[in-house]
Amino acid sequence: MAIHADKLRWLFWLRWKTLTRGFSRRPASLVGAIVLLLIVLWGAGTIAVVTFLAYRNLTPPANSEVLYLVLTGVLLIWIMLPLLEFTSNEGLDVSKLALFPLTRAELMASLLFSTLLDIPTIGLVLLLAAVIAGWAVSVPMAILAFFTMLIFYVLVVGVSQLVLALFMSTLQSRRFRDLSIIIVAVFASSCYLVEQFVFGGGRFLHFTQSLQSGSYSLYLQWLPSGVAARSILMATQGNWGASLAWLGLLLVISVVVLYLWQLVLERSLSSPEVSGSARVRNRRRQQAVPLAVSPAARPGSANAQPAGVSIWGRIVSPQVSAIALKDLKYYWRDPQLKARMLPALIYVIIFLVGPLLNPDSSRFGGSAFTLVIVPLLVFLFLATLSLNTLGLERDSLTTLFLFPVPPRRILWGKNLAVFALGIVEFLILIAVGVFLSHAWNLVLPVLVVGLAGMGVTLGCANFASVYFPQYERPMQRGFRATGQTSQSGCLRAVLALVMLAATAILLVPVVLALALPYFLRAEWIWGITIPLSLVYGIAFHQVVTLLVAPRILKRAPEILAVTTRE
Amino acid sequence: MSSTYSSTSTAIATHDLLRVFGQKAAVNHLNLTIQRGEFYGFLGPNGAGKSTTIKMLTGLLRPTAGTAYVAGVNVWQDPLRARTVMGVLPEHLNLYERLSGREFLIFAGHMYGVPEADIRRRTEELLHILTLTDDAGKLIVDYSLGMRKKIALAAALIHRPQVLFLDEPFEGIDPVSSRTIRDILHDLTQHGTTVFFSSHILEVVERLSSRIGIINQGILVAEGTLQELRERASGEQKDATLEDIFLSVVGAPEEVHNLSWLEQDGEN
Repeated sequence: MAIHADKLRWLFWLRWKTLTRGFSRRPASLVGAIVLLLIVLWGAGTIAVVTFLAYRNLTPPANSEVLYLVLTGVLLIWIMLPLLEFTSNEGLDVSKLALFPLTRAELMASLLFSTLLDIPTIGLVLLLAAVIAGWAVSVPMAILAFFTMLIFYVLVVGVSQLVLALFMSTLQSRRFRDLSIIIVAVFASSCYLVEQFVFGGGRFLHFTQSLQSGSYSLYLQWLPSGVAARSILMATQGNWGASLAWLGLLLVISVVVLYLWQLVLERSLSSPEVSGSARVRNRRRQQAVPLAVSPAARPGSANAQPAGVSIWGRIVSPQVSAIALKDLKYYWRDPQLKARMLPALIYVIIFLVGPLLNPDSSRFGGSAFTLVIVPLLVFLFLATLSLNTLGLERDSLTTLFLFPVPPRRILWGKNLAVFALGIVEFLILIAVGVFLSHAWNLVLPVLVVGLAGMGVTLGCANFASVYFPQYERPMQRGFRATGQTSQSGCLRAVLALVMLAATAILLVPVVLALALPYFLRAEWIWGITIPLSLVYGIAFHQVVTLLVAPRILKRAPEILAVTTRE
Repeated sequence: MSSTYSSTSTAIATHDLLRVFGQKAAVNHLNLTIQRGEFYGFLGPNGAGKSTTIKMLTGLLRPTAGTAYVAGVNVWQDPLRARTVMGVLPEHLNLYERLSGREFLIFAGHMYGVPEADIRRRTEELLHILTLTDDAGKLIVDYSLGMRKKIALAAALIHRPQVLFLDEPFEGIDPVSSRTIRDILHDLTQHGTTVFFSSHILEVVERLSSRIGIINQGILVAEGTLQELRERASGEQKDATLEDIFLSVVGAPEEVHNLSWLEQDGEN
């Protein structure tokens, strides 16, 4: 197990180069890295300061409970991080290093060292430094705490890499990548629910009581993090023999973890690669079927209308139906689009769960306002999905533009898919809203006005999609999923805000058609204003779509240049 | 300028087609005339302008100047009609990866306006002949490169195009599928379809093409049948291969490597 220092130096150089080259090739990633660094410094720094004060100022056993919780939290987060965030290895790509004659020890040492250049490691170091500072009440204690945390650091990184190596094939699978995008998007979108769950119902009070009674360490002491905590706590009680024994156990656990890591790593590198590409199957020998006699090759009218079409087929062209169906499948199967829809689901959940979690809150229930805001939520949802409808096709837009489809049908098909999703959300929210508010008299007006507003929103979205198409960066796994999804950055955000503002202004007639008679207590006027608002919504959508659609054909190469990356 | 081309026997025609990127002319006043039923091989080194030409002929990249006709239709004046008569296998496939292979073919059939019954039948036949039936229900995102090429080719064929543009169709394709595709393309040309394809595999171009065009630095430097190219490029060398002709026409430098250490004995 020889280690050549020269090789380690060059491997560290490689990691440094890949890091800096990434920034020089894509300056935008430097901004992202700085933002992440600031977030890590702020988040981990705050926790480090708070826990340092807790170690020093809380009375036993509360301070030792905090130590157990912090170390266990660190361990769990570093186990979870590779599953949610890392692409292959944040330090170095092992599969590429395996091509070179490196010993196992060199490989593992280089991976350990290279993690020092990962931004999350800074957070880890801050938290462990707080532990050392918090418990260093004397020089021997400082030395012990330092060595305990040093071994604990190796253990944490080793466990993290072991998990990564164990689940490498799963992590590289398309299904897992998709799932992790959704998981993080759900997490990021449901802050309200998380806040309600963590801090609601007196749970914070229960937490402080548990700290005082020392009930967490009963369970956490059996974990490797508990072993590290025990080593420090025994020393603070003057029981140095026990302290060193726990430290020795921690060292043994770390060595075992490192051994298991290299074992798994070796196996994963020597096993045949099965993930990421389609498995090769035994195929039956291909029969030579001359295509000349196949109907596929017989001349036929490509534009002939299908015989015996359904009523739906007579109303909606097959091309529009096919595009709508394709888009609906994409909303179901594409994690990036699914993540876009999540806020809408969160609205529904908040509508359903909010009143249950906060029965005394005045924000929910008991008012017709609950029902009236429903269309606004749906308009926002529609705008989210359709403001960049061509850009959302991403590189596949090239394929769509190769088909002889009249551009208005492209927009209609895409609008139909978003409308179908919007109407489902609308009906659910109306049902919930009317259940909470008991404003049955508002159901029909809200429904009709909502439909009119959807027409206006989709019309505005079609205009924005054709005149201001944006590049949609493919989402990556993990927390990158919640990052900036457009390289246009601020411009895109400004455009979206301007379009939302314009849409809001154009929605004024629709809103007035509902609100004015209601506030004037002259609901009979709805008989005139609501049908008019529906006509306005439909006419607006149709006129705008027909006006902007030809531009898709005229400016196809320019739209592709903006929205695709070849 | 007319949106149609008068000659009914001409499948593809370009007049002074020009595309400039910055200071560089990627395609420099290209004039092509390709007859119906021809199997036209388009060759050139990397960056010669092959893909740029195909993109301009298929409406994906606007020319700086010049005109392009496909099946008599001006590609840039009547793009919808032009797309109806052509099938395209582009360099970057950009398929709908979250559709299954079968779903993508059905979708493509609808986009080309093929009747529903024909779509179903042709889809199954194309899947069968391209040995994709077993994987037809799998999402394209899980396909290998070869499978993607085959499904993209099937989508380009489903409406029985008059002109087929193929950018590197044999790259990443296994020999068995390659043979099948060659047979399909040969059959298509026998029935009047024009095939315009670019490839780096000179042996395939040599075997399939009825006429070959060689482009270098955006300029069409040679064009003709293989025999004509041999006569022009090699003069006395009657049995020159297409590789010899190609290297001669594009003027590839003949450098002799000087890695003498490779021939030494020992480990390092």
